[in-house]
Amino acid sequence: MNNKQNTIADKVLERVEQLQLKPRSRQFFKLRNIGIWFLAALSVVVGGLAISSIIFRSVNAGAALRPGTPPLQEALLVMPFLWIILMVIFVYVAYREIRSTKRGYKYSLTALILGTLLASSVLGIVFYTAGAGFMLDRFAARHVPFHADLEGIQRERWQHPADGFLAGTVGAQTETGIRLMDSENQEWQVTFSDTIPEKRLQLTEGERVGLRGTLIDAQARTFLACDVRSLEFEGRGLQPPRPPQMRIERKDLPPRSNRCEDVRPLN
Amino acid sequence: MDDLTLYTDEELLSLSLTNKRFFAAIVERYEKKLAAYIFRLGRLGTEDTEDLLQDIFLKVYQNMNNFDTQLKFSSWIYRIAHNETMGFFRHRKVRPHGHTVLESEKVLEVFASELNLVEDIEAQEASAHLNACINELPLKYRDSLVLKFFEHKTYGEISDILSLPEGTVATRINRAKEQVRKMMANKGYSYEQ
Repeated sequence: MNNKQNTIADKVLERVEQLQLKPRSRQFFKLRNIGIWFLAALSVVVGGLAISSIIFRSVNAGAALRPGTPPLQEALLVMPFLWIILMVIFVYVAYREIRSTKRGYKYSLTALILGTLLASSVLGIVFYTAGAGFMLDRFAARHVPFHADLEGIQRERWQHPADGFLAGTVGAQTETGIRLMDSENQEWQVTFSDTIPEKRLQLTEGERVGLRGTLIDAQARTFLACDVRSLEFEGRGLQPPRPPQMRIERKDLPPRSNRCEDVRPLN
Repeated sequence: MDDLTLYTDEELLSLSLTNKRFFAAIVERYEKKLAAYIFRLGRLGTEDTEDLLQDIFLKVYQNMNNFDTQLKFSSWIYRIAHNETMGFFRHRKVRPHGHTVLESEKVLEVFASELNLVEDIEAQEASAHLNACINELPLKYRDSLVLKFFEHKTYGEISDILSLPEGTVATRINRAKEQVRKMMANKGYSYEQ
């Protein structure tokens, strides 16, 4: 061995002594590795939550908006920008964390990103089915500035009785139609006398519906429904059981008066 | 004192946990190789190289328990050397200019044949040109090239050292070779297609 080699080895050992360095314990590295995997898993979960919200908004865009909304406007309104940004951030964080694990670097960028995205998507579907997408959408509307939830968009779009749009929750059945509770907790008398192209209409008490028709009397809050569609959101998770469907049949209703002739039906 | 040359790197590392004498043997075994590697990555003065070497070995000492036995020890220590050297350049905010020391004709011949260069690459001028071309490469290409042709590492080892997928390593080496070929062609050298 030559002197220079000894010198460097000596200097290194001298600095080890001086700085009182000790090899870090195995536990330290184990904990760090666990921490990295935990962060990666957490990022995949958060990515999954973001995806559940994206699915919720995509699936329910139609129920939130009135028919005939231009596609671009529809997309801009319901596009879950916040969740898309969050999903991209957390998929990236998960990728970075997995890459810093012992074997993470062996996988290509594409494989890691696709793998992370796939894991988040699977979780996202599970979360969406369990109703997390709906809850997150509602939570974000309350706590995140400039974030409108689908319920809010739906209310804002459908609550225009004078323009022929009315939304609310189906109440009890009446002789000519139903009672309807709108989003401001006002009760409406809705008549289907002119309506329903089919001979029979099935509604459930407690169901949210959107009506296309004409305002009969704003003071008395009466509305003639020419068409009806369910505004229930998909992906709300487990819901309490509802009463059996009510059947409103043509034969129960007064004869048509053709007041719906000029009203464009829903869909 | 035992003949420490009989011990493998992994054995020395394991013994270093209880006796620093064995760690000194690791330092002695790797200091020249790592010094050459550092020099190839970026031209440094003797003092800087020595400081950097010390930092690398201190890092190795502190992280002994993190050695992954599925890796070759040399890959692991080269990885630490690589990361420390890059950190050193980042800290200095300088773009490292490499200096490939073509210490033997053999290395030069192997590399020239890899590039399919038809000229007599053993000529001093050609050698200097080849050196210059390699040193002009972007660091990410030079890195892989140096490890492949000057440190004689396999793709798998380079992947472990640079913490990159093997496919990326192969791509970088091919692109590096392509760039060197183009630069050499610009200097008037021809190569077989």
